[in-house]
Amino acid sequence: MRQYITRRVLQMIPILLGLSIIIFGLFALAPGDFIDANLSKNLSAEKVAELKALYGFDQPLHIRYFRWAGDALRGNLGDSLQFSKPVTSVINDYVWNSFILSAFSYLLSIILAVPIGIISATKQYSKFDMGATVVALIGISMPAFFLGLLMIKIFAIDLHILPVSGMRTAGLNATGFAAMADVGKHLILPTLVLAFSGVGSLMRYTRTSMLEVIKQDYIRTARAKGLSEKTVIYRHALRNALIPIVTILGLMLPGLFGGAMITEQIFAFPGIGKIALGALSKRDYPLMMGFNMFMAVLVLLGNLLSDILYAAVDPRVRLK
Amino acid sequence: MKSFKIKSLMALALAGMLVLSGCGGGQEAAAPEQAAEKADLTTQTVDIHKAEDPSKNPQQALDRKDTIVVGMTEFSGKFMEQFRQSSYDMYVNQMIFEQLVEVDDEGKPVDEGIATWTVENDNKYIFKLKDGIKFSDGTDVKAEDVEFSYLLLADPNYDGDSDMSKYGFVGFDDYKNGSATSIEGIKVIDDKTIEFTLEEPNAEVIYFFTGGIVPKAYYGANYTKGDLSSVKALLTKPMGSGPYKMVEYKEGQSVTFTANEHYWKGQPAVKNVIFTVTAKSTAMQSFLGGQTDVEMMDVSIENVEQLKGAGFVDLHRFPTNGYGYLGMNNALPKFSDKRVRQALAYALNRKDVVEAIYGPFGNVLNVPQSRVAWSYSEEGINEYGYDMEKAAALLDEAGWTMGDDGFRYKDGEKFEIFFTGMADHPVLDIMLPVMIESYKQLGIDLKVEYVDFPTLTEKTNNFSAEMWFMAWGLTPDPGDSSNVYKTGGPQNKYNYGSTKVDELFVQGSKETDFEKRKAIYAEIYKILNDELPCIIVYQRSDMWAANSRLEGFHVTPYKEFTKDLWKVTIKE
Repeated sequence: MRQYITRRVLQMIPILLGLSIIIFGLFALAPGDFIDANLSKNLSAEKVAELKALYGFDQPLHIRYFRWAGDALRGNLGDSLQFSKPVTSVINDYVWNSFILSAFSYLLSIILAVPIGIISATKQYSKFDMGATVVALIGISMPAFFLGLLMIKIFAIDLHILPVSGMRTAGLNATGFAAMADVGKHLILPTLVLAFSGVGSLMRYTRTSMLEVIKQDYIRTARAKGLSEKTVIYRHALRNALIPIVTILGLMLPGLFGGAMITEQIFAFPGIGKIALGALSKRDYPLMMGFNMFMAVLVLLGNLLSDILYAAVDPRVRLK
Repeated sequence: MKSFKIKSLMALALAGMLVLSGCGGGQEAAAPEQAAEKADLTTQTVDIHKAEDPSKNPQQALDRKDTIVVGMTEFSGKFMEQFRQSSYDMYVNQMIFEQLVEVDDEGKPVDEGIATWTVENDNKYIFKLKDGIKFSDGTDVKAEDVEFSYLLLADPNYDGDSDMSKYGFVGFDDYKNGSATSIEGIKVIDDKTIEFTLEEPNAEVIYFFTGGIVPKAYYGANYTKGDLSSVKALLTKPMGSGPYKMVEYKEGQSVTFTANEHYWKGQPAVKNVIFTVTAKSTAMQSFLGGQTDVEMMDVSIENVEQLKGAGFVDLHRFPTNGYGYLGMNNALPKFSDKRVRQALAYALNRKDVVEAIYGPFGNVLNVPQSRVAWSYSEEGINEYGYDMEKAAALLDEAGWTMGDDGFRYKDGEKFEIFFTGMADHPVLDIMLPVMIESYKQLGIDLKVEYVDFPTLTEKTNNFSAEMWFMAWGLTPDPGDSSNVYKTGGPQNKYNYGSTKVDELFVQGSKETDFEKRKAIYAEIYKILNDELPCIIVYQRSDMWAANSRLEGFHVTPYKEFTKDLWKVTIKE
C-alpha cells in the first residue's frame, strides 16, 4: 500500500508538469493581457511598454514559463496583478468561504441522495422511483442562476425570511453564536441551490449501483435463506452498492475547493469561483495559473484518494 | 485620484454592461410617450428626485441609528490611490485619503483640499498646507508626506497606472532612471510648504495634484527606492487624513469605516459606514429591503419607476463621465475618405438607438466631452441627424456606386465592413441589428464577429479591427483626449491624423487660462466632428439611490458621494 501511494505521488510530478505547460500556454496565448484588459486612456505608449516589461509580458513565452515554474517550485506563485498581493493569500482569502458552502451542500446532497437512490432501486419503476428520477433530472438540468433568482424572489423578497445576498449582514455587529447564526442564514439559499443540482446525479449513481447489486446471485441466496427484506437490502446489498459511491465521493474533493462560479455570483457570495472567473476576464495570469494548478493538484489527490478508498472498502481490490 | 488614475475604460465599459445586463430585457421599454418627461441634463447637472413617502422606510434601515451601509459590486483591495484600478476601490480611498486640489461641480480645480496654492511663471506650483490637518493616528500632515506620496509614483518599479513622466517635472528622469534620491522639481520648503517645478508650463498638471496624500512615517517605514513591497503590503490597511478610517476589510464582502476623530473639517455626523458587496442582479432588492442605504443603480425606466414608487428613496441622476463610440480604422481605404465616415453617421439613427437602449436617460453625443464639463462646446457642431439620402449622396460622391445586387462597389470592390463586437453586450444587442439593416439599405454589407473585451482591445491595438464599439471614461481635464485623437497617440486606434488637431492639443496643454483653453478645445471638437475619426454615439447617465433617512447626501459627476458623506446626518 505504502509503495503504491509513493508511486502514485511520484507519477503526479510529470502530470503536473505537463498540465502546467498546457494551462500556461492556453492562458498566455489567449488574446490580450492584463494591461489590455484594464485599458485606460491616459496610458502613454511608453508607460504601457514599461508596465509590460515590469510584468515580464515582453519576454518570449518559454522564458515566461520557466520564470513562473522556477518560482512555483520554490513555493512562490507570484503576486496577483489585480489584487497586488501573493496569489496564495488571495486564494486563502476566498477558498474557505467556498469550502464552507460546498461542504454543506455536499453533506445535504449525500443525506438526500443516498437514501432516495436506495429506495428508488428497491422499488424500481414505482411511482416514487419515477418521481425521484424526474426531480433528479430537473435538478441536473435547471440552471443555477434561474433557480437562485427564483429562491431569492420567494424566500428573500416575498417571504422576507432569508437574506438576499452576501455572507454576513452589514452593520449587525454580532459576535459568537449570533454571528454564526447570521452566516448560517446567508448560507441556506446558496446551499440549497448547489445541493439541488448535485443531489440528482449522486442519487442516480446510488440507484444504478444498488440495482446492479440487487440482481446478483448472492442476494437471491440471501433471500432464499429466508432473511428479512430489510436485512437483505441494508446489510448485504447496501454495503456492496456503496463501494462505487465511496469512490465518487473521493472525486468530489476538488469541487469542495473549486467554488461555484454562477451560484457565488448570484448571491454575491465571497467565494473563490467568482474570483477565478474575474481573473480570467481581467487576464490576471498569476492568479489564473495559481488557482488552476491548485485545482489540478486537488483533482489528482482526489483520484488517488478514491483509489485508496476503493481498496479500503472492497477487499477484492489489491493495490500494487 | 482623477490624476493618479483616470477612471479606467474597463470599469466604465463593464459597469455599463453589467448595469444593463442587470436590468435584463428592460431596455425596450422606452415607450415614446415616456420620452416627454425626459429631464434635460444639458442644462442641469444633477436631476434629483426627492422621496415622496419617507414613512415607507423599511424597518431594517430605520434600526441602523449610527451606521450608513453602501452597496457596491466588488473590491480589489488596492486601497491606495497610487495603485488603485477599480472605481470601487476609489470610493474606499476617498473615504480615507485627501488631496491637495479638489474639483468643483464643473470639474474645475478649487482649493477645498488640504492645501492652497499659487503658481509662479506658469511652471512652479507652491502648495501651502492648511492648519490642523492630521492623519488618523493624530500626527500632522507635513510637506514631506506630500513629497513621499509623489515619489512613490516615480519609483523605478512602480506598476500602477499613474503616468507622472508626461508632466515634465524637473529632475524626474534622474530619480526614476538614475541614482538621485529626490526629484529636483519637488522641493520641501518647510513643514507646510512644498514646491513643484516643471520644465515648461503644463495646464494638465493641476489635475495631477488631485492624488491621495499618504503618511510617510507609516508607508515609508521599510521602504527603499526600487522596492515597493513594504508599501504594497499595507494596501489593505490604509491610513490617511480623510473623514473616515478603515476598521476592517473582509475580502469579497465588506469594508467597514469609523469616523476619524482627528478630521480637520469636523467630526463626521454618522460614526460608522460600511461598504458591502451586493450582487448586481439583486442590488435593488437589498436596497428596497433596507439592507443598504445607498447604491448606484442601473438607469432604466423600470428601475426608476420602482425606486420612485418605493416612496422612501432619493434619486440623484447625472450624465456619466464617458461616452460610447463606434471606432473605425481610418487607414483602411474604405474609411479613409471622411465622406464615407460621415455617410455612416448619417445612416445610423442614433437618436432612436439611444432611446431604445437608455430610454429617456441617455443622450446622443457629438463631441468627445461630457455635456456638463467646463470645456463642453457645441459651437459649429454638425449633429448628423438620421438622413439616408444625404448618406447615399455622400457615398456616391466618394465614388461608391450602387451595383445591381444592391451593394455598393468602388474599383470593383464590394463595400463590406467587418465589425468586431462583444457578445451579450446590451448596447450592441440593440444597435447592431439597426446598423446591419440601415447599412444594407445604403448598400453596405456589415458582417459581425464576436470576441471578449481583452481580445477586442488587442485587435484594436494591432489595428486589425475594422470597426468596433467601445466606451471611454472622461476626466475633468479635456487634455486627456489627446492620447485618443492626436496623430500616433497611444490610444488613437483609428489611425486618425490631423496636424491641426495635434497643434491645438499642444496649445491646449500649455494654456493655463480656462477661458482660452475652452476655445482651443471647442476648435478641436469642431474639427473632430467634421472629420469624424469615430462616430460618437451617446452619453448615458448614472444614478445613485439614497435612503431618504440620510440628510445631506450629495453627488455630482465630478464629486463622488464619498466627498460629502461625512456631512450626512441620519433623520430620526
